[in-house]
Amino acid sequence: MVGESGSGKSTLLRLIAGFEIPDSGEIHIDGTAVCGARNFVAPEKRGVGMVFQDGALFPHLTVRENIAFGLHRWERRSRNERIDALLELVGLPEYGKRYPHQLSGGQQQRVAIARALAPEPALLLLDEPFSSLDVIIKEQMREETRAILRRSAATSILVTHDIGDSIALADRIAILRDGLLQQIDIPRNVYNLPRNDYVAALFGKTNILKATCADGGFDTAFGFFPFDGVHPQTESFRLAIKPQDIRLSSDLTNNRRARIIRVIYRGSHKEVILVSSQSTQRQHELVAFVDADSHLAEGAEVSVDVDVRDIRVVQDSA
Amino acid sequence: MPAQQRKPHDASTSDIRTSGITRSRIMWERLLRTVRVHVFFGLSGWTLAAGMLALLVAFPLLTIGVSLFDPVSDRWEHLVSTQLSTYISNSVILVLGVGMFTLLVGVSTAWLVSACDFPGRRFFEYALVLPLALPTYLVAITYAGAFGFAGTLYGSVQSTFGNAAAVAIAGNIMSREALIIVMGIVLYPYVYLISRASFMQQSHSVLEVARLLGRSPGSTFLRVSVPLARPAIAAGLSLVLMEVLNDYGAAKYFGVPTFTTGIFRVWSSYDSPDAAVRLAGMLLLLVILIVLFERMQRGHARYDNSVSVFRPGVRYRLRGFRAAAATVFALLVVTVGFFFPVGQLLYWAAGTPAELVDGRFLRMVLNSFGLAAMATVLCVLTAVILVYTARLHRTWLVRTITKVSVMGYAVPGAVIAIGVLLVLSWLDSTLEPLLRKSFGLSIGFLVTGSVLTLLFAYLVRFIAVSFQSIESGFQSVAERMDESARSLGAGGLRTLLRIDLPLIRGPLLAAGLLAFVDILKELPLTLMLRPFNFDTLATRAFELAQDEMPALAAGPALIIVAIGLLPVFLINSYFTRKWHHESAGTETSVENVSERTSPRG
Repeated sequence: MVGESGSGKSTLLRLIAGFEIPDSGEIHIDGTAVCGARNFVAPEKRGVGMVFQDGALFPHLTVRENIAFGLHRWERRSRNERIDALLELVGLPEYGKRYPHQLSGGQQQRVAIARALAPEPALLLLDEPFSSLDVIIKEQMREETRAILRRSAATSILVTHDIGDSIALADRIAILRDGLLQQIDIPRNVYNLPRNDYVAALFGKTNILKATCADGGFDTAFGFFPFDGVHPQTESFRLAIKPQDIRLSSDLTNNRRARIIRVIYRGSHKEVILVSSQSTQRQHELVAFVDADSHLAEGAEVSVDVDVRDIRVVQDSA
Repeated sequence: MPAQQRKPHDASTSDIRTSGITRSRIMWERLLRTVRVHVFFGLSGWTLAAGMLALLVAFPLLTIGVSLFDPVSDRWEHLVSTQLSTYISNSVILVLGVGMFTLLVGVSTAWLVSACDFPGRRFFEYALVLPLALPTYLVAITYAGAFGFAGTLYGSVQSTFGNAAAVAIAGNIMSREALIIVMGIVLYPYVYLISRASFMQQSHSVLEVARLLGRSPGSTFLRVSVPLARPAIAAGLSLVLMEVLNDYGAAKYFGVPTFTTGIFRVWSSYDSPDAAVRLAGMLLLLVILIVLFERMQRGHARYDNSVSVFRPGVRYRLRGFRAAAATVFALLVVTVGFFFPVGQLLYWAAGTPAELVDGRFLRMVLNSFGLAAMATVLCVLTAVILVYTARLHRTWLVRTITKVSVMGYAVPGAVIAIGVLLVLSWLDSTLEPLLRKSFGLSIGFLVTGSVLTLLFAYLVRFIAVSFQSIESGFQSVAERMDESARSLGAGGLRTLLRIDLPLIRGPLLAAGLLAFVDILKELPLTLMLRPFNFDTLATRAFELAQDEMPALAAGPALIIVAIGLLPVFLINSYFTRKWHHESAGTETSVENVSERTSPRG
C-alpha cells in the first residue's frame, strides 16, 4: 500500500487491526466479518499481526520473551520450538537473551517481524517498517524482509510512502490518495499502465500533458503525437510521458516545436525545461532529460520526439 | 445586473448554512462515535470501573454543592452576624499575605540559583526545597515554642536585646502576621520549584538579546524572565494558596480564626451541620476563584514554548558584596524555613525521656504507617484504573470522568471531611434500618467514624497526587507498545500487567511515595474523621502541642519530617529531569553545560 503521509494508509492498517472503528462499512478477514454494523472483534481476537515503524519491541523483555509474548496459550515445548524456528527465520539465533536496546535498528525490526509472526496470524500488517532505518541498511533490510515473508508464506499488507519498497516487495500494489484507492494491480502494470496522472507521477518526474483525440494520435500544445493504441472514451484524460523518453533535436526534424527556457545540470544528465512555441503559459511546460554532454542552449528552438510506446494515456485525477 | 450582484451574496449565505449543518452533523457524528466506541470496546469493565470510582470521588463535593440549597437555619444566621466577617477577612488576608511572601521569596531564590552563580549555589539549589518536608503546623509549633513566653529562646533574646524586645516578640509570635511568615516560609518551595524549572527552560538567546539591547541583569529579570515565566509562577502560586486555605493546624495553634478553623468549630459545637456545610461551600468558592485565576494565567502559556531549541544560559557571576548578599539571603531562607524548626524539634527530642517510646507510641506509629499505606494503595490503584481507562478510550466521556475525579487536590481537607461525612451519614442512616429489617442485624453505624471513612476521604483528597505521576508515566510509554501487545492476543488486563505497569515502575513508586507522605502529614481530615481514640503521628503531635506540651510533640514530628524528606529529593530531581527531557533530550546535566560555556576559564 503506497501513499503520501496523510493519505490514510496507516489509518487503513489500524482499521484492519482493530485500533480504530470505521464510521461505516465492513471489514472481512478471510471471509469473516471482524467489523460491521453489529459486531466488532477486539484487536486481540482478530489474529492479525502488526509490525510498527520502529519495531515497538517491549524494552523490558528479552528478544525471546518478546517473541514469546503472543504465544502465552502455547504449551511450553512447542512455544520454545516456535521461538527457535522464528529466530532462525529472521537470522538471529544467538540473540535470544539480548534486550532490544542491545540490537541494531535492523535487528530490532527483524525481531519485531518474528514477534508478529509468532502466533501464526491470518494476516501480517507492516506499517512503514523501513522508514526508521538509515539508507545504507534499508536496502538490505528490504531484501531480508522479502525473504522472510516469502519463507513464512504469511499474507501481508505493507504500508510505505516509498514506491521503491512496494515495487521490490509486493505481489500487488495499492495506491492510496486522500483516502481513495487510485489503482490496485501487479507492480509491472502499475509502472507500465498507470491509471491516472497521480499514479504516473509516483515514479519520479513525469510530464502530464493535456491532449485531445485526433485521427491516428493526439493534439497537444506541442503539436500532434501519433498513437496506435486504444483511444480513451472520455474527455478527461492526459498523456503521461517520462522525461527520459523525450528526445530533443535541434535539426527541427518534425513539427512538434518547443523552446528551451532552462537547462539544469544534474551530474548524470541535464534537465531541460521547455515551453511550447505557441504558448508561453507555465502549464504547458515539458521536462526532458538529455545526455550531460549534449549542447543545448537556453532560448534555442528544438523539435520534440517520443516513441509511440512510451506514451501512456492516463485518467485525469484532479 | 441586479441578478448578477445578488449571486455572490446568495453563495455566501448558502455557505454559512451548509457550514452550520456540517457543524451540527459533525457534533452528532462525534456523539454517535462515542456511543459506538463505548458499545464496542466495552462498557468494558474499565469504563464502568472508572465511572464508578469517579462518581465515588466526586460525590462528597457534589453533596456540599447540593446542600447549599437547603433552607437557611438560625445557626447560620447567627454565624453570619457574628464570626463570618472575621473568617472572611482573616482567610483573605492570609491568602494575600502568604501569596506576596511566597512570590517574593520563591521567585527571587529561583532566579538566583538558575541565572546566577554565587558561593554555595549548588547546595542551595537542593536545600531551598527542604521546607517542603515540613507541615505548616509543625513549623508554627516550633516558632511559638522557641520565641513565646517561657520558650527555648526567650531567655537568650532577653539577655541580648533586652526585656522589652523579648516581650514584644513573645507577645506577637502568635499573631496573624507571624502566621503569614510561618506559612510563607514553608510554602514558598512550590513557587521556587516551578519558576526555577521555567527559568531554566527560557531560551538563552532571548535573554542575550535583552542584554545586547542594553538591559542590566536586574532589568532583564524583571522585563523578560519574569513575564515569560508568569504562567509557571501562577501555577506555583495557586498551589501555595490552596495549601493556605487547606491549613488548619497552624491557624488553630496561633488562634487565628479562618474558614477552616471555623468549619471545625461549627461542626463540633453546633448540632446542626448546615452552618458547617455552608462555610465549606463558601470556602469551595474561594478555591474555585483561585483555580480560575490560574487558568487565566495559563492561557498565555503558549508563547513559552515558541523556542524549540533550548540552550542553558551563561550564569551571571556574582562577586564581592553581591555574592555575599545572595549567599546570606539563601541561607536565611533555608534556615528559617527548615534548619531552625528541625533544630528546635531535635532539641526538644533530645530532652524527652526515653520512656515515652512506649506501647502507645508504637501503636500510633503503626496506625499512621498502616493507614497511610492502605490509603496509598487505594490511591495508586484508582489512579492506574482511571489513567489506563483514559488510555484505552479516548472519548470526551472518559476525559470528563478523569477530570472530575482529580478535583479533590484543590479542595481543603475540612471541606472534603464535611462532604464525606454528609455522604456516609446518609449512607448509614439508609443502610442501618435496611440491614435491621432484612437481616435482623443491629450493628449501629457501619461506616461513619470507622477507618473506612478516613480511607475514603484520603482517596478523595490525594488521588490527584498519584494520578499526575502515573499519567506522566503512561505518557512516556508509546501507544504502539499497547497496540503491539493487543495484536499479539493480549487483552486489556494482560497488557496492563505485563507491558504498561513494568514499564512505569518508577512513576508508580513515585506516585505511591508522594501520596504516602502527604497522607502521613495530613492533619485536618484526620482530626475530623478519625475513629474515637485513634491517634496518628500528625494528630498526636498537634494535640500535645495544643495541650502545652510542644516538647513531647517532637518525637512524632521528627518521624513525619524524616519520611517527608524522602519525596523532596524526588520532586527536585523530577523538575530538573523534566528540563533535561524537554531540552533536546541530551544527557548532559545543566551544571556541566553551564560550566563549560561559562566565561570563567
